[in-house]
Amino acid sequence: MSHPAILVVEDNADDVMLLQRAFRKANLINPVRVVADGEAAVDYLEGKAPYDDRAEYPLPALVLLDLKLPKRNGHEVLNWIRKQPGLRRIPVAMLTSSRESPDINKAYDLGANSYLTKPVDFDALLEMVKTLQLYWMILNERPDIRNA
Amino acid sequence: MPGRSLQRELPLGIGALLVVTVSALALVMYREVRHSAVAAAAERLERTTLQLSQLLTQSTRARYATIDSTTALPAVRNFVRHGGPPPREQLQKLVTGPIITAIELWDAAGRRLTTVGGTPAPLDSAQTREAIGALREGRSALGRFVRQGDSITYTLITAVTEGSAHLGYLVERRRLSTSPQGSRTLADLIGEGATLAIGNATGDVWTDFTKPIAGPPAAVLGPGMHEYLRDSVPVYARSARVAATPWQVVVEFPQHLVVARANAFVWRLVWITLGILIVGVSVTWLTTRWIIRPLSKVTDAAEAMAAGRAVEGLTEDRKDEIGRLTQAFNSMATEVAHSRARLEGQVAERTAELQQTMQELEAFSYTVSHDLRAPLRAMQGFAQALLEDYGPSLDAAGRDYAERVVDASRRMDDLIQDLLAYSRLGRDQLSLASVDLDHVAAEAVQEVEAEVRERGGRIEIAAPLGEVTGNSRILKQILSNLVGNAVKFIPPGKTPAVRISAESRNGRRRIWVEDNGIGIAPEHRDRIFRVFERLHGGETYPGTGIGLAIVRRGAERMDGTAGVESTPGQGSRFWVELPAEGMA
Repeated sequence: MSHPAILVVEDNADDVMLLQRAFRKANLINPVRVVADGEAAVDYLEGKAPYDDRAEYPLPALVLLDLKLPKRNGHEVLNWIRKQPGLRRIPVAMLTSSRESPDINKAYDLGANSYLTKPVDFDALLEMVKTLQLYWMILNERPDIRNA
Repeated sequence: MPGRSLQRELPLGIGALLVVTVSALALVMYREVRHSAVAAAAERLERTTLQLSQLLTQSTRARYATIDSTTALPAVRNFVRHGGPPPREQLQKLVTGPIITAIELWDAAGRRLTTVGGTPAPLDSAQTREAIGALREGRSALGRFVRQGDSITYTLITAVTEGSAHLGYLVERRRLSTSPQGSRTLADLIGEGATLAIGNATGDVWTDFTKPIAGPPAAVLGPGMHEYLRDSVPVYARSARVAATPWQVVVEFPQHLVVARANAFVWRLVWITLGILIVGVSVTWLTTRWIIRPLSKVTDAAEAMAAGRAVEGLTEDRKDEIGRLTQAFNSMATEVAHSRARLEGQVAERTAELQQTMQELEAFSYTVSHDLRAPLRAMQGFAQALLEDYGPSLDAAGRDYAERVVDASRRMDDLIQDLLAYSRLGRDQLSLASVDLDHVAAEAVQEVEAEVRERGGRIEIAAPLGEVTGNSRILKQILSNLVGNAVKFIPPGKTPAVRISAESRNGRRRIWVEDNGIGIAPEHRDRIFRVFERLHGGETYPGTGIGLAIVRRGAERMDGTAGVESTPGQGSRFWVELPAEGMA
């Protein structure tokens, strides 16, 4: 079995680039897929075109979800995921700029597994990615997920 | 209603005034009436006694004349001088009524020679001498009263004279009494209720013309009106000498008769007073009510308005002062209601404006959180990537530039974080609860622990720090800032030594963070707590200039204070004082 995938939902190209550099430096072996807005995230998880090829676009074992997204924001995507019978168990970690408690509380209310704020300092980002890998990919027991 | 009431007090006051006035008047008038009644009685007494004595004098004189003619009779004279047959016939003529008990003829020595008409006991020698002695001033005289058994007798003695010598005496023996007609006359004369007494001028032997009576006190014989008891009844009395007799008359009025009229007057007055009182009080009460009732309505309404309650308009159709007051009050109440409505409208407006501002601030803060930091991440991340991945290709200057970009973006991030924290302190709703200081201090220390150990220093927590009433998140921020400063502002080469302690002060708890750093000059002690105030350039000791502002504002929002004691070169002692646990 190939390594489980990570889905990154992020609209800021700089952040995506930095994140991927961090993955690289952390020697992440899991495949990473990136979508740039909320609609695309929903399409990806549903398996709608152009994401219908599950070999190319596998269901992720972890979703890193930004809050501020075009079309549908992070809270809405999270809410949608938690309503899908097959998908609702997917571990979702919010990865966003805001530390405002309303944002944090709402995410947890909607069923986020974790809430992380993007550090400005790259080294801190690297540490975070390493920890993510260790915790979610290696230590954590994954639930069964399938397209309903 | 508590407090005084005009409606009650005015009628009572007027009533009391009426009672006092009428009582005073009554007293004065009673005395006057009584006085005049007594004066009238006195005058009546005087008149009566005078008339009486005049009457007696007149009748006596008339009698003298009659007797005189008899004594001039030769038969009488001869008999008295020489004796012989008594002139009985002539003497008998003088016996005219039952008053005269006998007619006697005496010789010059006073020996009884003959008696006609009756046989009364002869006078004793003293009485004889007295009778004769009474003739000092004239040819006839009345004798003093003498009590004989139950009757009062007296003599009327006339001298039988030859020139100026007394040959003998004609003596009428009389008994004092009155006929029914005489009594009636007397009664008419002295008036109803009064008593007439007659007695000797010497003060003994008194009679009321029917029987002997006890005499009045001797003082009565003096002039003027007197008061004494007659048979236990208080009386007014006056006496008068009966001219040409050895007698005096006394007229007595029972006092109660005199003052009876005055007393009756007083009783009438009492009833009238009662009537006046009732009428007066009722009228006053009604009038007061007429005035006070609308007044108390206005007063009640004014009090209600002052207490903030809604007030209805008052109706009062009068045109006088009360009516005007009510009108004025209505206008005022309307004005106040309008004012209130206006003010409330203004307040609602302002509140809405304020809320809008707050919302805008929230939105601003949100934007800053999300959007401002994203470019920063890019700047810092890619500058670092440049350094790390292409460092060897760059010369020293190039590497330096890249490093400065990284530093600048780090600083900007710190600034944004602190600004956000400071702004949040003003906006957030604070939840205050009991906070365990040891716990918060441990967390704050943890953040700098690595750096401290690196420099060989130590942080000491003087547990137990206790508990305070505050917000744990803000407290952690405060302590983080203070401990961070304590570790940062140390002269290079010195090992940091930081001590965290707490003490109780007047029901509040003061937390101390002491360091062995560079210290602060006295003139800067207040400045450093202000936003963006820095005492050092970014090269020597980096910082945003907001840390201590956050400490002070955070403390104030938890109802506390913050300050510092310091000596330059010897370290600083920062303190934060908060309400103790359990006190809000």
